Amino acid sequence: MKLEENSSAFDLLAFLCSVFTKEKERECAEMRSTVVEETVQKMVEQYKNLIALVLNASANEYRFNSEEIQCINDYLQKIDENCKKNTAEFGQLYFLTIEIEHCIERFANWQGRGVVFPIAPLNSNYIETNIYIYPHYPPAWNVDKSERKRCRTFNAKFENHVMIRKDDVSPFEISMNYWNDEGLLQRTDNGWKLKVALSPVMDYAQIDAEKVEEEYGKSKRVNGIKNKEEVEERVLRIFDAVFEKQYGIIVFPEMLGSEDILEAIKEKMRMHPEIYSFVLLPTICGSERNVLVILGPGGVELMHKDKGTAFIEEDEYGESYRERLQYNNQIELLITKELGNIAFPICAELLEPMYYSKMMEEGHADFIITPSFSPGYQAFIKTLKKGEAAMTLGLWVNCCSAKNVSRNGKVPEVLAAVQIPTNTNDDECVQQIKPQCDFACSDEICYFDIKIVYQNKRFYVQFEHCMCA
Amino acid sequence: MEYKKLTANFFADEAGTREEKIRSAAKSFINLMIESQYEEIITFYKETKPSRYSGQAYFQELKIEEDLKKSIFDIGYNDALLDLMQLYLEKVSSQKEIDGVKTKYKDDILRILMEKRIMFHKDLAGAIGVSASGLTAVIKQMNATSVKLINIDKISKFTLYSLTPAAYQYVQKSSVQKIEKKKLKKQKEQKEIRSFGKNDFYIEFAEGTNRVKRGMDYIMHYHNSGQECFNQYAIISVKQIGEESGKRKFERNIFSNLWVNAGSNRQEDKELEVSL
Repeated sequence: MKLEENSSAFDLLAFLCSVFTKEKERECAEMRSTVVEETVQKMVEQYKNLIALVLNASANEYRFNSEEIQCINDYLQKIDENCKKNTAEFGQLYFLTIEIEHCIERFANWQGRGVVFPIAPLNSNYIETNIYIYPHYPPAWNVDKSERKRCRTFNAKFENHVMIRKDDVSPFEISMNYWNDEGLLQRTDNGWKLKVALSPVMDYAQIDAEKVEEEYGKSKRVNGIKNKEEVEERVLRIFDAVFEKQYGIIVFPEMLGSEDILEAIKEKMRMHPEIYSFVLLPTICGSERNVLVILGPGGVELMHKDKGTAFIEEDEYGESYRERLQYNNQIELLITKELGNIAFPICAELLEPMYYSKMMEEGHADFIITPSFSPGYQAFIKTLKKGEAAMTLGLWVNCCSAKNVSRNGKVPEVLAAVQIPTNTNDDECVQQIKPQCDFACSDEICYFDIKIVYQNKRFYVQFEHCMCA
Repeated sequence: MEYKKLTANFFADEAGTREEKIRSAAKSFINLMIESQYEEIITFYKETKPSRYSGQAYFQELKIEEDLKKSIFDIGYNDALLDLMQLYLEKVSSQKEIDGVKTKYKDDILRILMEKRIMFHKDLAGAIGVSASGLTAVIKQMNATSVKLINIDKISKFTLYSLTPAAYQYVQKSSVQKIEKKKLKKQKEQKEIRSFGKNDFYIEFAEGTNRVKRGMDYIMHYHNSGQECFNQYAIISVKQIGEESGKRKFERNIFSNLWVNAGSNRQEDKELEVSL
């Protein structure tokens, strides 16, 4: 194993990670927990010069010059020989890998790319090594007790990055985007506040969907909304009411979106780039796609995300129909400095166990925001609860109009939820938000005003149903 | 530093290379600005300004409307401005946070870890002269700001400490600044010597004067502390001058200094002066 010309410390890190199989990684992590002082002393002595080389490279964007590469390759050769002779040497290599990661500061090459951009792996040798190294910021809450810290993996010990093995993500692909700014959280003494608006919008949106019979089964093609103008008017009225109140995050449900809503909201946000809001627009359905657009301050498109997991719906005759969607296997995440990695699974994606586990374990999601259009809610609540062990934050919003696809014709009992990491056994991990309107849709607007407060290492959630502008 | 290699050529460079050059130039500029390296910035500017002409020529070749060109140009300009502000703030706030860490062990710990790279908890505690529990509190203080200084690695039942990249750069910069200061001081001294146009005799005189000054400091110390044998120390200091002819003059100078500073009217002092 050796580094090529122009290699960087990230390439070295990826190289070292790639030496370990998952079994070896786990074995070494366990060995590390019982290693003796003499061994640790030996490791420190053996590798401190190599660590010095990495630290020195920080002045050159972590790129090594040819002499340094030669020196590192000599080290790598010795390591390779030692590992072949004695598998206990892997323990030392494991130590070295973690120490090298600690020497590399987080993403320092963000200049000249704008405020939000897709980000490639920091290591250029990701094809060769099948390892992706991405920057990672810990979220603005204490995660010392997270189950992630107990994992027998490199990521449990890495400080500034996550390491993703390409094979582990399969059958999905991870796609990272980077937000080079802060400002969603309102800082207070000993904590922060996050204002969120979740809107179930209305109960009279009519989905335009047609059943399709195929060779392999039945599906439903969702083409948009039948009463498009009514829905657009309602969504925009709600947006006007909430936007001025400067929420950090505004979330609309699935399926109620359109290009006109997108343009109108962008226009409004463009006039006020000083308002720092992330807006998850109602998803736009058509041409066998279900697309979530996320806008940032000034109407900047932070992300376009295609839904990849179809809903399965049963009609009144017991026939099952799957949502017709173009194939998509991307798990898109947004790297942020305040909220860690944010993931945006759309409805059924959150409920697909494999999607969820890849998003959490490989994508290292710290905050999950899910728009939905579903007659049921229980599966969402159960899935959100899974985030407690990893100490993530979660938001979910549903749509009252799902009653029109429900077999019992009723509005779902729970319309929104907030999942927080809890501190005691008494704390409720998922706060379920039920309709407050006696099922009579307000003439004006409808949204839930939510305040997530983090104070002295504890979370508090307050919410209020707003039906007047 | 050679700045020409940071000069982007919009016609010759691949997009990735150009981006790297511009990014490195921005970082280098901010570093120079923070260190107020005026002369270096002059050199930097002279060597990289050809990229401006390259950029303008490239822009002229673009087959798009003028209004659109202007908008694109303004976007780039604005983005660069904000990027530089952000870079500057990151550097300076990091520096301020580290400077603001309030523990008297900060410099020692940074220096020791810079040298040793990684240390066990007990070894570091011993090196700075605190107890094991005391060190835990110190490390906590050092990591209490938004810029973490010390990596804490728990292996088995041991705790290892190393510098974070931010701390490493801080220490390196401080060391470089100290070396630069020493260099500047030496250059200044040599310049002064050269500007006098003096020879070895002057150097010897200057060194002698330094010795005299040191001698007087000793004497003042012993006199102020009321020690009886201070006059003996005065004689020792005078001997260090080496010039017999200067001795008496120097001794008179010392005593008059003492009387002026300490208001001495001690009989012994007067008798000693008379004897000299």
